[in-house]
Amino acid sequence: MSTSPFFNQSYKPESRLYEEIIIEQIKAFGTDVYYLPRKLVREDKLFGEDILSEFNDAYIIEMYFENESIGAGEADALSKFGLELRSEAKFQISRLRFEQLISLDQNLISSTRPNEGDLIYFPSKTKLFEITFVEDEDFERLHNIPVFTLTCKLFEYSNEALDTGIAEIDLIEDTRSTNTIDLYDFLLEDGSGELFLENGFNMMQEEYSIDDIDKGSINEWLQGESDGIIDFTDSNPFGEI
Amino acid sequence: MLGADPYYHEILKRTVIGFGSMFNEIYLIRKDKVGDIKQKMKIPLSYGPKEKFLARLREDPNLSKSVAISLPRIGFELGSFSYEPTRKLNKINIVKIPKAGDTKGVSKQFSPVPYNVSFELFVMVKNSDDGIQIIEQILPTFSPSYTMTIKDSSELKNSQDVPIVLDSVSYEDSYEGDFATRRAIVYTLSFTASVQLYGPVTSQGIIKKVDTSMYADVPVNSPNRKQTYSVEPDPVTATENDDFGFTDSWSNWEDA
Repeated sequence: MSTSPFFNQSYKPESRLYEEIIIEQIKAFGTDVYYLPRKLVREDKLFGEDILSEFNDAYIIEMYFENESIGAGEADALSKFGLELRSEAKFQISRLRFEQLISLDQNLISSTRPNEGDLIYFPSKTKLFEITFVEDEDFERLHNIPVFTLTCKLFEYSNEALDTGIAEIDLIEDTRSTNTIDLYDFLLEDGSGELFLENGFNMMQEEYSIDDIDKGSINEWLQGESDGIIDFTDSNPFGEI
Repeated sequence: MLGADPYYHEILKRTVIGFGSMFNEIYLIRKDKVGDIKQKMKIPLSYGPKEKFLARLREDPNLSKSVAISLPRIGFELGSFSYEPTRKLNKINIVKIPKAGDTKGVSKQFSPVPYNVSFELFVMVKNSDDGIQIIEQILPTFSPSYTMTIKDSSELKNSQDVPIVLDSVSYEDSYEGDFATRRAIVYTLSFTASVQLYGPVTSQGIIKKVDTSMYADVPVNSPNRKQTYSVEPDPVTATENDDFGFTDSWSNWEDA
């Protein structure tokens, strides 16, 4: 049996209607999230990575998340590195809405679709997800593919700069970054520069405490404990602050 | 059988602390394209094994942690113990020091027992460049060992040099596979620390009687005692500040 002659699959208005219905569904049953495009700052061609990625923009957009719970995926676990959250999520985003709101961002590597490596901030759960895989609908209805499905995992934070202007997103960097430069530097009185030590490193303010920033670490506790029991007359091999 | 008085010199705990403290001030720097340092960060370090409830309550008390984990970070843990016979000292050697607060006694301890203690250090990073930067800072310190001096908590306040040998370095990068699987870059460094474990500290009072036995035909396998000479203070209750003399006596043994 051939396809129905009463429906013209390449007829644009019908295709458009179908897409509008999808968008309406997402607006009705979805949730507002922030889409953060990744800005590559220093791409390493050898290792295929970027160690200084920044996220300077945040676009609020509606998405539908497929999981019954945002905490789907593997259970949170304790590893030899401490607590590791393993939440996963699947979001659906309208192709048209992506084109309208996000595709013009200069930092997108591919402007025609959401990019793997970009972030999605889910405000109601205060979770920051990284897009690990983007797929389009496998069924091409009316010559139109109206949504992308984004497979996401909770972001592994590695001191990426988050300067989006959205306070709750930027707070993640403020509370989790262990970067000392700018945040804990001793600045000159006129703000024109920093104070440097003889070894070339920046002088840091006393309040820099890795144990306070990273609740799972015991760097400074170990230093305090070892002072009384380790005879480091030769010096700590890796120096001191 | 092992002794009535419990003792704990914290040698192993202090070795763990000492081992960890070697790695508590490792920094990572990231430079931009022109070579200016843009980020400088201390690498968080923690001991791996811990109570699960404490880990969750400390690291995610309000269930509002926004990210999966912060990287890079270093973990370490104590491994196995094995006896090391080549470092064994004469087992009847005794160390003695004056007993604290008691001028009439000494504290003594037998020779320690040598054990090798293994440690593993894990480095987890998000970027390959971060990983090799951290490893490159650690490896040159161990050629293949680094020795640190650890004081124990016993009354004798022993200090021992503990060589820590870097045995091996392995590396795992799970970059292959489907896109839904997270990539993990983990370096594993295996170390062996050579420690000396001390037994209990015992007390000994002032020696107030000395017996000297004399033998004939010493080359004989089991020579018989001929005479015994004994000396003790007079009176036997005298202390070092009293006016006292000595009582000596000879005993002859006719069973020779």
